[in-house]
Amino acid sequence: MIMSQGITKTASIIIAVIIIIAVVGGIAYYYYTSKQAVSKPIIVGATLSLTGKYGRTGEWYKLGYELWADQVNKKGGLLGRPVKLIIYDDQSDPTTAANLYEKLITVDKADLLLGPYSSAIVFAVSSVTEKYHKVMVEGGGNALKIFSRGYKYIFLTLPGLAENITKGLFDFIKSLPPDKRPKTVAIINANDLFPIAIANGAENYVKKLGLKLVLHEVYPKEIKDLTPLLTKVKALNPDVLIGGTYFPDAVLVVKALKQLNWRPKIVFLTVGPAMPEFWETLGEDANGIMGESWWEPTAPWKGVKEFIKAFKEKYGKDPDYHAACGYAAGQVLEAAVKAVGSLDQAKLAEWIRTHTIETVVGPLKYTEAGYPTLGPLLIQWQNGKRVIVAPKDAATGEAIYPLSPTWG
Amino acid sequence: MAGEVVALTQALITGVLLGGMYALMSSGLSLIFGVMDIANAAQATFAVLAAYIAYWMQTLYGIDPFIGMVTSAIALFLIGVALYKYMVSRVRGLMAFALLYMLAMFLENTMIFTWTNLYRGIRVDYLTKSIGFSGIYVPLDRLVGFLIAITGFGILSYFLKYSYLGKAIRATMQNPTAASLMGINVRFIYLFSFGLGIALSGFAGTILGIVYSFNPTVADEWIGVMFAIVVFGGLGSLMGTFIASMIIGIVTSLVGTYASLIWSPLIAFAILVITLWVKPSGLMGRKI
Repeated sequence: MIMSQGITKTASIIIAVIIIIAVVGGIAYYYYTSKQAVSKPIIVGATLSLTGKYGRTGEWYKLGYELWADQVNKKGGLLGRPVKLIIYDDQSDPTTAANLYEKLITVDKADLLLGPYSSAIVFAVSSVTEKYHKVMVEGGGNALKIFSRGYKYIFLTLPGLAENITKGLFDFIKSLPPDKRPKTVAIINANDLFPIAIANGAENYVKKLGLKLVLHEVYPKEIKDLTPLLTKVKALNPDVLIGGTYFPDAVLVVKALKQLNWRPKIVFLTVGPAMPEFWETLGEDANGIMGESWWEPTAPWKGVKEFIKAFKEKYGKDPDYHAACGYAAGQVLEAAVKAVGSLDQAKLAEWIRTHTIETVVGPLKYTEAGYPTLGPLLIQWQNGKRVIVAPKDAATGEAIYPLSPTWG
Repeated sequence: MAGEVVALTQALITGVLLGGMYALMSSGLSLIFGVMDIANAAQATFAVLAAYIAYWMQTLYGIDPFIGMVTSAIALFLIGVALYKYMVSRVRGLMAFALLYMLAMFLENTMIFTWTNLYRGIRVDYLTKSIGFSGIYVPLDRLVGFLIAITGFGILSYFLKYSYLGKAIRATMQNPTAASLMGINVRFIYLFSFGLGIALSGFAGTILGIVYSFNPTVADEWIGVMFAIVVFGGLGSLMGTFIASMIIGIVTSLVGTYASLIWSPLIAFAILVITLWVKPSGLMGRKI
C-alpha cells in the first residue's frame, strides 16, 4: 500500500461536490428560514365544543374567534406577523380538551391560547395551560372554582362570575330613593352548582344592602311544578323575588305567578329572560320580568356596532353573547401583545392584570384571580324587547318599577 | 275558608293536576308494557316529537294546538304501527328495550340536529290563567291536561273492557298462545296496541308542550319517572298507573307545601320502594 499517494482525483471531486452542496444548501437554508422568520405566523390555539352536548354553543365562539383573526390579519397581523388560528373539536369533553391543549402547546407550538366552552372544560384545560405558563383568555367558563386556585395565566371575558349575576339588580335597588326601595327579598333556586352560586351571591348582596331575607328555598333541578313553593312565597309577600333558574324553571315561575294572580315589585330570574325564546314562550306575561345579560347588541361599549356589522357581513346573522365573548377574548390578547410588544407570557399576563381593556363586552378590569369585575347588565322585558335598565351608563330605557301586584 | 284549609285544598288540587300530567305521560308506556311485555324506552321521546309537531303546526300555519294534538296522535299511531311491523316485532325482551332505547337516542339527536336544543313552548293564551275561588287557584293549562288524562283513561278502560277488540287485547295480555288458539289474530293485536300506545304520547306530548317549555332532551327527564310509575302501579294495570301517578303528584305537592320541594322526589320514591318491597307486583299488578 502506497501511503504518500494522497487523495485520488475521483475522491477529490466527490469531496468538492459535497462541500459545494453543503455551502449552497446552507446559504439557501439560511435565506429560507430568515425569510420564514419574518412572515412566520403567530399560532393562536383553542379547542371548542363543536360536536357533543355543547355543539351549538361552541360554534358561536368559533365564529367570534375567526372574525377576530380575520380582522387582525387585514390590519397587518400582530407584531408584523399574520395570525393563524388552530381550533380543535373537543367534543364537549373535558379530558379530550385537556389533551388537545397539551398538543397545541407542545406539538403545534401555539404562541397564544384562547379558551374552550363551559366551566367544566375550562377547569380541566386551565391546569394544563397553567403548567406550561401559557396565557389563556376565555369567555366560556365563569365558575368560581376555576379562579380560586391561585392561577396566574387565565383570564375571563364573560363580564363576571355566577356569584355576581345579581350585581346589576342590587345596583338598581341602591339607585332607588330610600323610601321607594324594596325591603324584603325571597330567593328560590334550582339545586345545581350554577343556580346555587347565583343564590349565594344574591344572599350576600341582600345582607350588604340591609334588606330582609324572608325565604331562601332550593328546589330539584328537574322540577315539574313550582306552585307549592310559590304559594309559600306569596303568603310571605316579599317585595323582590329572585330566582336562580335555568330556562324551563324560569318559565314555570312566571306561569305559576300568573296562575296565583300575584306579583312582587321585582321579579328577577336568571338565564331564561336573557333568551329571545323567553318572550316567544310567554308573550305578554314576560312583561316586567328582569334578568341578567352578559351582553346586549344595544350595549354602549366601544366597538359593538362595528362588531355586529362585521359579524353580519361575514356570517349573515347577528352575533349572540357567546360570539361576543369569544371575539372579546381575541381583543384582550391583541391589546396585550400590542402593548407588551412580544409574546412573553409572563409579561402578557402582568399587563392584562393591570390594565382596563376596552372590548365589545365592556371595559374589562381584572381581579388578581383573573375575572373581570364589571358584572352583567340588568335587563327587563318590555313589550317584546330586552331593555337594559342598569347600570346607568349602559341603560337603554327606564325600568318598570314597581310591578303591579296582580295580573288583571 | 280558614287559611289552613285553603292551603291544604290548594296543595291537593296542585297534586292531583300534577298527577294528571304524570298519568298522561305514562299511559302509553303502561299499555305497551301490559299488552306485550315491551319496555318502550322511546315513549317520552315520542311525546317530545308530538310536542314539536303541534308546535310547528301552530307556529308555521297557525293551527290550534288541540287540532295539532289529534294530528300528532294520528301521525304517531302510523309511526308506531310501522315501527312495530318492521323493527320491534323481530326482537323480544331485553333486545326490544335496547332497540327502542337506541331509537330514542337517534330520534333525540335528529331532533336536536334539525330543530336545535333551544327551548320552545306551545302558547295557548286562553289557558295561561287560572280559575280562582276563595283563595284557591286552578291553573287552566294543567286542568285541561288532567281532563284529557282522565277522559283518555276512561275511554281506554271502557274500550278494553267492553269492545270486541278490547277483549281480544286483554285475552292476548293474559295468554297469547291461548288467544291465538281461540282465533284471535295476535299479530294484529300487537300491531294495533303498539300503535295505540305510541299514539297516546301524541296527546301527552302536546299537553307537555303547553304546560312546559321543551327541547329534545326533556324526554330524558321524564322517562325514568314514567317507568317508576308504571312499575309502582303494577305492570299491565291502567288503573294502577293512574293511581300511582296521583300518589306521586299529591305527595310531591304536599311535601312541597308543608316541607320543601327539595324533599319531594326522595319521599315519593321512598313510598314507591316501600310499596314494591311489601307488594312486588305493584299496587294493582298481576301476581308475579
